Amino acid sequence: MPMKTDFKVLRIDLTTGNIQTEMLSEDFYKLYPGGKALAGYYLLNEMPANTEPYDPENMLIMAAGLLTGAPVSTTTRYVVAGRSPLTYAVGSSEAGGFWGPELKQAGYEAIIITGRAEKPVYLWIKDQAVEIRSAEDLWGRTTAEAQAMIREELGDAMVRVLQTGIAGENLVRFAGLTNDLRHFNGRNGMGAVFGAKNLKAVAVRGTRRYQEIAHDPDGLRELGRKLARQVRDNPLSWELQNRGTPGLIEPLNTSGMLPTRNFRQGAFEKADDIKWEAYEKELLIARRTCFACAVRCKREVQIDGKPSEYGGPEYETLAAFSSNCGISDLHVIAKANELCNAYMLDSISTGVTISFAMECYENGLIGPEDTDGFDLRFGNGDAMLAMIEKIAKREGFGDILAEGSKLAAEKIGNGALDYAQQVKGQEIPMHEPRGKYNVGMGYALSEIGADHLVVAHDTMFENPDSLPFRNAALLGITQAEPARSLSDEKVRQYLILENWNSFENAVGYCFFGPAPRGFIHPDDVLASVNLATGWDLTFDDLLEIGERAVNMYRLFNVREGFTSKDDDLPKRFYEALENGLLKGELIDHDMFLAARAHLYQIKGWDPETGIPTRARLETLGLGGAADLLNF
Amino acid sequence: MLLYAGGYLTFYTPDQKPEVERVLPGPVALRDLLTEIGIPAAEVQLVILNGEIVDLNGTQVQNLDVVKIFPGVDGG
Repeated sequence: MPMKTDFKVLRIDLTTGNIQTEMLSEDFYKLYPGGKALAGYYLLNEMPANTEPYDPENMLIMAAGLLTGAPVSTTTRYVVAGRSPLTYAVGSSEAGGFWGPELKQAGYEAIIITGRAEKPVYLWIKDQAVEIRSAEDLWGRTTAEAQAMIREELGDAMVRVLQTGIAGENLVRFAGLTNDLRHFNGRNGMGAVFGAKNLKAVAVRGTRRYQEIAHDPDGLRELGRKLARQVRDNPLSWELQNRGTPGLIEPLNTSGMLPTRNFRQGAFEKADDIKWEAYEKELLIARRTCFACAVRCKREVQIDGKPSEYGGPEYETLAAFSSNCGISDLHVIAKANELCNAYMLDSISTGVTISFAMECYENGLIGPEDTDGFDLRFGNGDAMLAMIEKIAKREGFGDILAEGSKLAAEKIGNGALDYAQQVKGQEIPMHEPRGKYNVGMGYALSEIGADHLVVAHDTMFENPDSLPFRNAALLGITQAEPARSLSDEKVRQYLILENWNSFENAVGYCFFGPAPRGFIHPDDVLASVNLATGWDLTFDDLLEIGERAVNMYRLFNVREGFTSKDDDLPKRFYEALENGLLKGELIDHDMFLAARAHLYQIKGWDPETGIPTRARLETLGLGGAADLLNF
Repeated sequence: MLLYAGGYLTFYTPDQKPEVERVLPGPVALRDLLTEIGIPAAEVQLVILNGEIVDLNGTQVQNLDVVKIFPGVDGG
């Protein structure tokens, strides 16, 4: 028996208040099984070309994955997609937590929102009952206040709330979304798209268990139990449970790959003050998790002796506000994290936009007369915290920084763009591409702008005897390659790893679940899909799901005028790192562009323009999309 | 001799703590010491001996040395 569900999608037009439900066929869902795959289909087929991010016609798509909410650790993810106000490319930001599984429990694969409400509203979805309710009292509130008010109004403390914050209300281009105050669709400014639609939140409560829709519920439950038992026996998941992502500070700093002072350097002289042992001593009070996940990688922290309402900083946040801004006071960094989450700013873009401004300041492009009197140098924690407040509220200099580093650089001028570490307008995450070339390729090619989750990182595949390398064999990676290489073999591995990660995104797996990054062997990943669906898919089928999704996002960007010129890294990464183990290392630009051309070619894209060929699109079942774009 | 097993290599140490102290009778091969502690040498990607990068193969350690070892590190 196939899956016992009718694959419902909820459509809401905020302009008219019209609410509709549509059913997808199982054959359709097999091609587009959730996440970016499903979102990509609608964005390509229904959204008019040249729709501006803040237009009512911009689609806001919240898509869970095929496995989201299954009784299998790390199947918690969902995507929020639309056109990004930060990049003007496809916007797509994923998160874990509890909201995605709750949406599935309410019986929906996705929600598609169009239009703009006249006044602030929030949605209340309780199984099949859907209401548009006033959010006028919620506007201007911190996320913690808004969540408490929604739960009180609905009389249910277990309602799962996905919401934008004050930053999104103020159309900060990198405003994000949070669910349960601890899980974030941080990237791409999807919180600002909420704000532009006068949509404060989507509250969900559902009662349908995943096991009611699974093809083989007993088999899936047994697999989930087996995997939960493996968490503490696998060094990769053990590390995530024990330290969480903050455990990355020490090894990355030692390896010369801890972004420091706006990516000028790869090692931070005060890394001992911010590494895991210090975090554990100064901040940690508890560990938490996402829906039904045995990994438990989330941290709870105290600030000024009080438990934070928002959870603790992840590695990305920690590095963005510490080494990247030259700051070593963990309490300042925890406060920065709390401010971002209370106002709902993407902490990566916020940290890298502030580090951009610090470099502009130190080089005399701006002065205290521009920064509202703040001495915005690297290392000034008070100035950094003040800038976060100003960005969220678009006050003073914060109004310029709220545009993101690329647009802010254009306003500042005088060569400021050289200090903006971004791709397609999105700020670069906390992984040094001069030490991991495929990560750099992922930054450059990612359809959503710089993103560190495009491929598993190069350093996992240098050692042929290591556990991550051995686990990648089933995917077709059998030859160890140096991290600082873009050989033809390395480019081939990029394509496999990109399609694998894209598949994970589509079906709802967290990056920390499946091997090679995670503890779940590829055989068990495949088994989980087939037990849930009865589809009898192969690895090649899974990789094709991922590749199809990548190509749809690519087509969206091609339609909106993006070219191969947008698939490149900032100048800084073609220049030498100033310190650390990789001092003097740089990426050769010509070599990078040659590898990119080769990658385009093996993707079935034109090697010069990077536009997918009709032949490849037809192989992926995307001939209709090619017709739509007149390819 | 102080060994710091970073990243997921901490998983393999006694008590799963990153720091392991040993009093050594004389110079010993680092690879043999790791085997004795229970850390698979196959998982070690970076070795720093007293602040300098060294190759695991052929490296000897002795009392007063500080050794840091790391696996290949991904992101997240």
